[in-house]
Amino acid sequence: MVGGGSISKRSGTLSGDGKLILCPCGQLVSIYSAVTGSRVGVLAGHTDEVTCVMLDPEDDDQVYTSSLDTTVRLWDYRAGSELRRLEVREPVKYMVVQKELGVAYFSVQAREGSPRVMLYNVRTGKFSGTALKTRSARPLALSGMGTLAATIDRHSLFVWRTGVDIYQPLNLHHTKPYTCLAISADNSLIAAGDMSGRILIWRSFEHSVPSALRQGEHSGKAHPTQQPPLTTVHWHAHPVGALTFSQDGTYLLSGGEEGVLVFWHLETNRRSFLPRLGGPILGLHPSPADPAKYLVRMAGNIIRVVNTATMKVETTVLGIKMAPEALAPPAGINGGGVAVLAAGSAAALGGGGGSGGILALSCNNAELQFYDIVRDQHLKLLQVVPRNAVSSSEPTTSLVASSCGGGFSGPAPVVVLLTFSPDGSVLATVDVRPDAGAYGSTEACLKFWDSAALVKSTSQCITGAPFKLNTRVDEPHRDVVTSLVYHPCRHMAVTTGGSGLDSEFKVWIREEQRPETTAAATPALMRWRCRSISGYKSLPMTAAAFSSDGSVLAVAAAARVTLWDAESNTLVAILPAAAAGPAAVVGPTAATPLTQLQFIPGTPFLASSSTTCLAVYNLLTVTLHWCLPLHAMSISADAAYGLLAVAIPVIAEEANQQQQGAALAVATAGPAKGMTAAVHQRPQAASCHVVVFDPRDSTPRYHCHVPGAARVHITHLQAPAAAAGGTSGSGEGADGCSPLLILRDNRQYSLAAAPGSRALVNPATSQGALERVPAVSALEAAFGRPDKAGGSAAPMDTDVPASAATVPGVGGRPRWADLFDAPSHVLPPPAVLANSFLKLLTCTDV
Amino acid sequence: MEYEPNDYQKLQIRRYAPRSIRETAEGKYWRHFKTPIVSKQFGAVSHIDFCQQYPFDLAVTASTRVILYNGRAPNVVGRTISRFKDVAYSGCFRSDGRLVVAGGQDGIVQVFDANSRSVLRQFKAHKRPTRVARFGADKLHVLSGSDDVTARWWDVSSGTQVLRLDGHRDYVRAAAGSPNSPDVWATGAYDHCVKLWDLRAGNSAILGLDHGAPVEDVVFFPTGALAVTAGGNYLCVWDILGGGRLLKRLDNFQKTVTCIRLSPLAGPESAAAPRMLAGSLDGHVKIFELDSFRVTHASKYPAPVMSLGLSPDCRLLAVGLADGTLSVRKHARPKVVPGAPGLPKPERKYQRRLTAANYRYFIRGQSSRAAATDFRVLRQRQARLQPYDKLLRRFRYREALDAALATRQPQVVVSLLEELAARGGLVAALAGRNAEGLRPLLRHLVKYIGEPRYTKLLSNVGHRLLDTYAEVVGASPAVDRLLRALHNRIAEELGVMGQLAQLAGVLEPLLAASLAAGAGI
Repeated sequence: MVGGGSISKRSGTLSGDGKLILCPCGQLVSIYSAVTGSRVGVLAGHTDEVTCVMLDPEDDDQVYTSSLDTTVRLWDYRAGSELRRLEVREPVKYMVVQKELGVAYFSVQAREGSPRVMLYNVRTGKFSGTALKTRSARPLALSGMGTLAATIDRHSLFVWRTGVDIYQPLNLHHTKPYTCLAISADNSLIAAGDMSGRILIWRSFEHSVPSALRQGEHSGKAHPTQQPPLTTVHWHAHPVGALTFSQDGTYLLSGGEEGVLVFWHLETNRRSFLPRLGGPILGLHPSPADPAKYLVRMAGNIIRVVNTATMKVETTVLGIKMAPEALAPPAGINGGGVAVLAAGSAAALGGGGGSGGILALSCNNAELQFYDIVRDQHLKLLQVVPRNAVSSSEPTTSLVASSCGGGFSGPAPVVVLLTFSPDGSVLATVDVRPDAGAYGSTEACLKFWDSAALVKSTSQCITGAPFKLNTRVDEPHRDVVTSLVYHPCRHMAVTTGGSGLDSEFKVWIREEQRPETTAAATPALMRWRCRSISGYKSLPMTAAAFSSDGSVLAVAAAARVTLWDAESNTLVAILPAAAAGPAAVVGPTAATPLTQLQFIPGTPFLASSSTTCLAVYNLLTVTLHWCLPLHAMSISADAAYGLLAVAIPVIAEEANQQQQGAALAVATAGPAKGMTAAVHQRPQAASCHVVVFDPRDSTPRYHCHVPGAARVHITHLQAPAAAAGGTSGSGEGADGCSPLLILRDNRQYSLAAAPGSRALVNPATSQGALERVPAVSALEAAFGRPDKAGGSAAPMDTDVPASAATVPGVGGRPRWADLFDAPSHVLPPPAVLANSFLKLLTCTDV
Repeated sequence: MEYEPNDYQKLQIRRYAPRSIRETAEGKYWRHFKTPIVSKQFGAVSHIDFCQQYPFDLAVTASTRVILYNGRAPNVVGRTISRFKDVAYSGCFRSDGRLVVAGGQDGIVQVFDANSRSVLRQFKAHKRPTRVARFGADKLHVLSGSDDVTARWWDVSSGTQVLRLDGHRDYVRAAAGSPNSPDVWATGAYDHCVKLWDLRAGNSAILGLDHGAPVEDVVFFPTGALAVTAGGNYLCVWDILGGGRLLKRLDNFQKTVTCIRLSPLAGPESAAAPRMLAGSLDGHVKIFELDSFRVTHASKYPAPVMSLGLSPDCRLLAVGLADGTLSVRKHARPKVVPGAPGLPKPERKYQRRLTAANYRYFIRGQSSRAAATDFRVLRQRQARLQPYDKLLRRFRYREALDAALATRQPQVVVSLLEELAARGGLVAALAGRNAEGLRPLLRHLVKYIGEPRYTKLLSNVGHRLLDTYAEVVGASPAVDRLLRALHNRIAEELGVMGQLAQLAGVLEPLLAASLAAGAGI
């Protein structure tokens, strides 16, 4: 199943009776109740992103939807059925439909040639002969009477009369780029906002619009012979995001990055405000049923219904929030910005939902969002740093950029790490906030939260914050905090961090704190404090993990893994640095710092990942079990089946090289031609592979391709069956796999499960389903490695002496020392080594 | 729905961990002796004595006079007894507060009327300066100790010497009467000896204790079973009933201990044991808990402490210093001891009516509970915003920073600066200031840039400030002065850092060596 996605990025609408909100959400159109804000249905059918939803002007119970899949469809949204399909042949970005003439204007992003505004006759299903070429596909506006249509194109505002053709449009030029436009219902006013925050209002402009195609002239753009009267008003400090006229034409509503809805009284130019809406305003849509109500789309994936008569927000619909810019998408450094509250412990949140677990995500303005994975619904918000959502004063890049980022730009505080206690009663977060530094310096703050009192049902507990602050620790480490893990059985947490020689990890425990007054009646408070601090050879501590019984704490010290007894704070063992590939073994800089550690429950294996290497250690023998030269973005361990899932990006060059492999692996991506086109457009990594390994050997079990996502974060969910009854069916237990949550960089997520398993996956949405692949061929397909998958050390024997002879000594060490700079298990036998060792000893210079 | 556009959220003020190590009840109690009333005397304050009767007047002996202060108003200059030809010593009240006895450099012991200050008796047997004179518990006798190595027992009513106590071989400097018997006295002398006398037994000591240093002061415990002697830089606790056994030696001072006082009432509510105060020439007054003889509190005075006194109700703490300063501190929350002598409550003559002259008039009835039939009008109380919050809400960043600086609370300024940085408004807040507007900001920087918890942020702000105003340096002398002060402050801080680094470098080998030695063992 697929969930998440932005609901506020593209224009939606209120239903004819004003009781439903229809908004595009990826390839679907989500329908929310305007009363309760909960989702009541979807319109599914488009095969690419839906760009625009608008009511059919002839029938309130029908909507037109445009999509990048080159179709426009007409739906009966109450029945959920598709009524008509218009083939446009180009991806449609914006559209308006004129009622009387039965024509529609589409702003299309042509795949070849420039974007243009096209006229389409809905009744005949034919395009008009002429089209208005633009620099980019921009919004369209239609007057209330339907006689005028307009669009903006950078510095130009084009207005033309509706008809069977687009005549010479009137060009109203402005020195600043336009961002949005609106035409009043009675054609008397046209307003446009620009990048500098000014709003330009032209009055009585209608006679300036050419009425018919003049003979002997091309249908080019006409500059007005006489400029219509222009009024400029300015309040917005940032680009104007959206404009709309009230139905009676007395008010102009504008919104922008400030998150303030501004009401302009057009007679007097007086302003009134609805402030602190909580995010940049992207769109304003009047309600067809109630002239006082407006649908406000905001950048934080929020849709609000605002009543202008009472100046109140009536309904709020929240989608999954976008990753803040300060956080590497989708889940921050090493996936610390996202945590899953397991299904069993989700009751701690007080919600009735969460049968498949609750996703806690870090969002803008240092908020945490709790999101029901299976029901694909927002649950709660937690403000980690109490603060107002305000726009930055410093100049931002552009409105488009901020709308993509999903919030206010600027160095706002953000939660970078979070984790839950196993029972979900304690939440630990690390948020960073900027201090006044000119050079982007930040300060971290560690916070421990207690679950608020449990409330029975979702509807009742909706107002309260789900967690209450217990302890706050400013600057837990000298500089950065790199990871935060929670003990699986006790109330104990471990943070790693610090910079340079101060790198360390700290163990935090919860203990009773007696109040100062000796009154016996007051209950003892539970507070957190740092119990111990440890470091290892001043190496940077980058990741940590607890074993499933909590007896072993693994902390990554640069490329090595140190194993500690968390209770006694003693170093138990040190695992050698893993290095994969022949070149990596010999070079002294082979070891890159580890980014993630993960114990695989039920097995004696510990998985580690770095940007160059994925390694699995056997803790019984304290040796490296196997390693592969993969850049693992995210790893996750399957507790029920003892499997390891790894997300690997596909680099563009590799994608080209491994054309055949990609075609083999990317079963859902269509023909190879489409793949190359995609690669051509986006030179960055455009897709990811998720591979599930059995830690006992390095052969992949399952494989899944995630197209169109440069970065993903993966987490295993507890399967209901596995959580409830354990592995009752032994056959399935041996061969199954827990459902895997794949979170993309745009915060869309998919649930993937092994084929045939009766997990919570909807089999109809086959995108996320894992397909079983023959093991060796899949590895070849994914990584293009012809060598034997299991033998990581096999090719070493011949390579080491040859390359070692050419590598000079580094850091004053004798060069033969480099020969032994490798884990013992990958070193060739002494008989082979002896020859090259002697050679290096005897040769004086290279 | 849940996420309504909410009200303006106030600026979160950063809270730092409390800096004091551990605030004990004991420390809190003694710190509540606040607002010292300092009065300058003509010479070193050699003795302070509190009257046992309300209002607990105090007699301060300094130079050639004894000054009697009213215990209720110790800031008012009291009545002065200046009938001395030379330096006066040891001005002491009788237990009922009506007579005062004092010795003198000329050896004459004089008894005064505390009210009229007239000389009632003069005892002229001592040949050398008399450093100590005390009333007996029977109110009719005076014991005096002198530098002629004798102590004498006088009858006040007849004005004659009753007994001469010989036995000390050096100046007698301390004397104390046992609370058990009016006839048992302890005297301490510079021959390191403390002698216990029973005046009924005549002119021979019943017990001799060797303190080991010239004895400066002797005090009996309230039970009379133990006694404390001060001399040298230590105190000795003796078990008198146990035959003069040394119980404890307290080496908590650097210099000679000059005075001791015991108070059964002092200390916090929870503490039952009596407290002992001891002052020393090293300028410290230390408070001992007498169960375990541990120092529970210490306070430092700017000059050697010569004398101290604690009023019987523990409301006043008077300390006399060698430079002639008398410091009297009043406890902010004195203990109300049931049964202890105190001011009788004045009877209220009439019931006062609540009028608009009283604040309570305006808040009357607010706590009364609404009846079931009452109609309730709910009014939302508006959150009161601080000036900087009001300005921040209106996005007036520069004024908000000014308002935060005006609070003079560094944590407010720090919080606001962080918030401004998060809003991207720091440049706007710092820029565009004239000399007058720059000064408070620079003053704040100079004051707090050295504090470790603010250094990182304020040095960044300082960088930005200098970047912004580099061109106009030299335009205003006031700003230049502050910039120079900032420069000096940073230079000073760097110097300290350098010294600390050197110290760390010196210490490191020593620590390493000691660790290695420890490991070797």
